Amino acid sequence: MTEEMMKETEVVVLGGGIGGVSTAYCLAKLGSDVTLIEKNELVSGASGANAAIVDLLWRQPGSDLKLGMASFELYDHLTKDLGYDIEFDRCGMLCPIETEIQFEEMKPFIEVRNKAGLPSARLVNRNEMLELEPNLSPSLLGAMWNPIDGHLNPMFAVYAFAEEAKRLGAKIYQNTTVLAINTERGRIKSVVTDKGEIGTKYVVNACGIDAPAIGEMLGVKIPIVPNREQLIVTEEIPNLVRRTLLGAGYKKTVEDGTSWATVAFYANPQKKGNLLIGGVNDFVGGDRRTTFEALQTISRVAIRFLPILKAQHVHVIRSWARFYIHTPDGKPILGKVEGLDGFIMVGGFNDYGMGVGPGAGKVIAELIYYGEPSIPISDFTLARFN
Amino acid sequence: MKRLIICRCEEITKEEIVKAIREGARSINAIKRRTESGMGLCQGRSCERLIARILNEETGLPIEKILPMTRRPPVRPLTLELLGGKIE
Repeated sequence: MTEEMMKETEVVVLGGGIGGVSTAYCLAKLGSDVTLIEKNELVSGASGANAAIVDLLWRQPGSDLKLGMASFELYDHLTKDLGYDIEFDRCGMLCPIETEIQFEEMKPFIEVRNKAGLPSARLVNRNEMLELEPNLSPSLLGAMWNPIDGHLNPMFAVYAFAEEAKRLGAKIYQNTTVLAINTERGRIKSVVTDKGEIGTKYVVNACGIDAPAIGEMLGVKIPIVPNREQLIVTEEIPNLVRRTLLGAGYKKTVEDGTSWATVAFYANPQKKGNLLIGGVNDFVGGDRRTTFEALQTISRVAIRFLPILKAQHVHVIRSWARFYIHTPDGKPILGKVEGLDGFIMVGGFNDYGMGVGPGAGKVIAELIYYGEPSIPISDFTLARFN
Repeated sequence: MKRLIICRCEEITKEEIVKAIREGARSINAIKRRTESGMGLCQGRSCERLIARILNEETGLPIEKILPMTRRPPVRPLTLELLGGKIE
């Protein structure tokens, strides 16, 4: 596939993950002439290797929650209006609670979300929790429950946005490397790739974990580092687990003197019946291998929450590690980069890129097209780190 | 085209593999992400060479540039109980 690079375009989007394809799709829909460049193939990074959870419950009240809601609307649009099967299943998210203290702590958590526009979220007691998910351990106290959350197939979602963007006229170049970005009088001028140079007014940096490398080309420091997350997937066990499960207060730090990692619990049933279970997180630079210790920990924690996995001798068929896009304050980086006209960030989604990525793509498209986003993103500027 | 199963675990046909390539997939991993071939119990052991050959036929990419697909533990399916070991 040696296509010749176009000579001119209004907007160049760099990165073929959820942030990039949804930005390209929304721009194309508004009528912009947009070109997306991906170094590898579409969905090669964090969007293609995550836990497939999409939830509103854990969004912060305000713009974060609104970006989540806008994302859900776009997933619904892909599914209901455009006919893509992205396996978007709002089976509900159940967040088991282990102690009385956690139960008390979750009351204000729910209350602020109810007030912020998420009336569906509530606490349930043990009996109701077990009705919703009979195979959870009866030693758990209860859970937070949000019936409108769930999961999707992240790969299918990215391909669907990319297909629609193309249908609306966007150009997508895969296996294309950016070599340099030219500027003129403080404004973006062109992007030089190994397939040619393309003139443009805007560069949208949606490169996920590689966003800092693009920033560096322009002398812009982007404080993103990779956080390794390890997960496992089981054989198909349809209906053994029906909800997206995420331990509400379960987050432990394990140290062994030289290193540390955090351990969380989630279990997410997929359409075919496989269960995704995680996860152990640590900072190990660019190392994407899995470790025996982490897989052992994940298995143990999973059995504690879901004893059925042991009782039914459920098998693990694969493990993997992915990088989530860590920012110092855990919030995304969105919007114009000060001092360089036309350079725009979409990224730093931490561990919830599938949850807010499409909403972020939508507001960035609005920012470029109308000059103003429909959801305020001033909390997410790169400048906050200065 | 005859309905020819390539990935037995996930029941993915040759037609679906070819469609993924025509939509832009240029690696076994990309074909896997589009079709779910190689995501089942055998983790691509029986289909990866077949898929590599189809990709070679469709695009001319040399086989040695296609194989192998990414390998991840466990080598074969393992119970969570065994992987987790003894729980104190």
